Amino acid sequence: MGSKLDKYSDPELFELVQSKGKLADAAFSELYDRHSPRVFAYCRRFLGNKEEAQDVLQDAFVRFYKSAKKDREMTNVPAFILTIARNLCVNYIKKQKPLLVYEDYMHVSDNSNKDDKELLGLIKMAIDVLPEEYKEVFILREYDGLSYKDIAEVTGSTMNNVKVRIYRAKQKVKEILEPYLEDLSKHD
Amino acid sequence: MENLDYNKDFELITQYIDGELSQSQMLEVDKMMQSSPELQAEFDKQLEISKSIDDDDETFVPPPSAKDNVFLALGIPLAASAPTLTKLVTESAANWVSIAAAVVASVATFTVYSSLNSDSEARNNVNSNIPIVKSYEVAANNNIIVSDEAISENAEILADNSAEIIDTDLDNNINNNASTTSNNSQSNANNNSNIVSNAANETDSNIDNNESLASNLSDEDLDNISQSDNQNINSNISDNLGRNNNNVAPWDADFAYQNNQFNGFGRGMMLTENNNFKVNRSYTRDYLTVIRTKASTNSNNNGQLDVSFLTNYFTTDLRGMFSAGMSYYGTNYGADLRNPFFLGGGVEYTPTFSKIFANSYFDTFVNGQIFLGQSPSYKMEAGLTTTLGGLSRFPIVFGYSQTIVRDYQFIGQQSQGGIFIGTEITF
Repeated sequence: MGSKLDKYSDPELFELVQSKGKLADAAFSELYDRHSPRVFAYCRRFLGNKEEAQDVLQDAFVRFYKSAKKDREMTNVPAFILTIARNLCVNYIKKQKPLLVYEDYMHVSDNSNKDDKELLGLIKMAIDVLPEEYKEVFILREYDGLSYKDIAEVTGSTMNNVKVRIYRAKQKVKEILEPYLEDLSKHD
Repeated sequence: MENLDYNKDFELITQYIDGELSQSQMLEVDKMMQSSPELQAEFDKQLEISKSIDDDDETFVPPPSAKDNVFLALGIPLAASAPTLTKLVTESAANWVSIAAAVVASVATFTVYSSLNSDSEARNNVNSNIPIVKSYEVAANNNIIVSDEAISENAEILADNSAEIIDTDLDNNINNNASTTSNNSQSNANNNSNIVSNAANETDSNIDNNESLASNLSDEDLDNISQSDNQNINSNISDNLGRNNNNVAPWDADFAYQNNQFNGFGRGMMLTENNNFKVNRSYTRDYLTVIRTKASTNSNNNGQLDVSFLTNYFTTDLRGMFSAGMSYYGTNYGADLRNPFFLGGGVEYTPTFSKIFANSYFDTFVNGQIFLGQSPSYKMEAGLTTTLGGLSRFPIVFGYSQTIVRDYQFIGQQSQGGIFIGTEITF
């Protein structure tokens, strides 16, 4: 069951939030319901931890609400929220020490069993050890389905930069999964 | 295509899979793959990875508390985050729905309670029109003599019949020792005989003799009974009562009043109405258990069921209160039990002015509670419990509560107040 605001578009809801009227809080609530799952999923995959993802999610929407109070035009609300979340994730990562490095992963990935979920599990592990600049674009592209243009907007990069980073991210993932993929092709 | 720039071509493969190429570019890449097994293999590997990710059905649902924390941090009323509710009814209507639910729960609670106590209820309905005797002093002046075992059941019968019973020296002089203001009907004699029998146990008298003597008294015999004898007898029996039942003796007739009229709810009278008792002893310690159900317009605490333990261990009218229970509140007005349990403490004051109201009592209470859950919450409540005369079985509890809910990061907090209404069981 949706709210009475579920027919409104994102920009219209954003205007309601800016209006500070009676429906401002309800509009913000609707935007939260609409986009928080995606933002949370992004944070969860990027940070790899539920509690940290919740922290960033909350912080992202608090900042989004405060920014909505300013006089600004909004055309791509989800990209804007994702941008905030992405920046917070990056800042969060910078404060943390990496738990698993690339070489460590290559060492532990040899003993994998080959079941249906194995490749997916390996991909997630590969994402975990990706450098941050590759990880974010890979997640935005593969999990959130953002176009290169939107990814460029979210990450504040150029299109060419995004193209290169996505390509390199996929090459990194492929490199990590290479032994498994080779074995898989032999069995096929 | 012999001098393949693999990086460049692989990049095209990536963009091809991501749908970032134009139709003509895609056709070009198709041709390249047909002529290059390496490009085809690269395509297959990248596609395999993308397909695996597409098949990933793992979903990440943000915890419900995250939304509350955001709203709390921004100072937005939590009710604003209730879209499902606002579509159906207004916020105030939702509060009334909540109150109605609590009332239904209260009625159900009392139904169960009443059914469990049906026996005592039937017993207490006997002699419901009997005048109520308010204190031991009155009881003594009316020559009410109450036995140890029969005090709660027979005190009203005694009051109604103005019974006077003599239980000492029966063998020596019946005219001087036995008295009664009742008529000489057989039924009254039977009633009195029960009481006499108990009293006689205390004075080593003979119940059989007592019964026959009492039933055979003539009007002249009654007239010959002196007031001084009555007082001596009453004094003896009162002493017996005091020795044999320390819990009952202090408020004697009041206790009967409690049992028969209020079925245990009129606890305020027990300590405040008995001035005679206060003269002899400062107070009697008692221990009460109170179960309260409350519904509130406070959107941070819509409903509550608590069990409180009270005692006036140190003072007469002021009771210390320890409460614990379950609380319900939710931003979406669903079953939200994020802060389900709470502990609290406070005081309850039973004012002495309740004497003004013949058939009612008033208790005031102030209570503070800490909720245990994901979002730390505190609540202060001040309320009043009253039977309002005719509501002895359904005392009304009402008052005001103020709840402060903080987000778990202590970024912000939300304070909500509201009136509450409910009912209680005391035992």
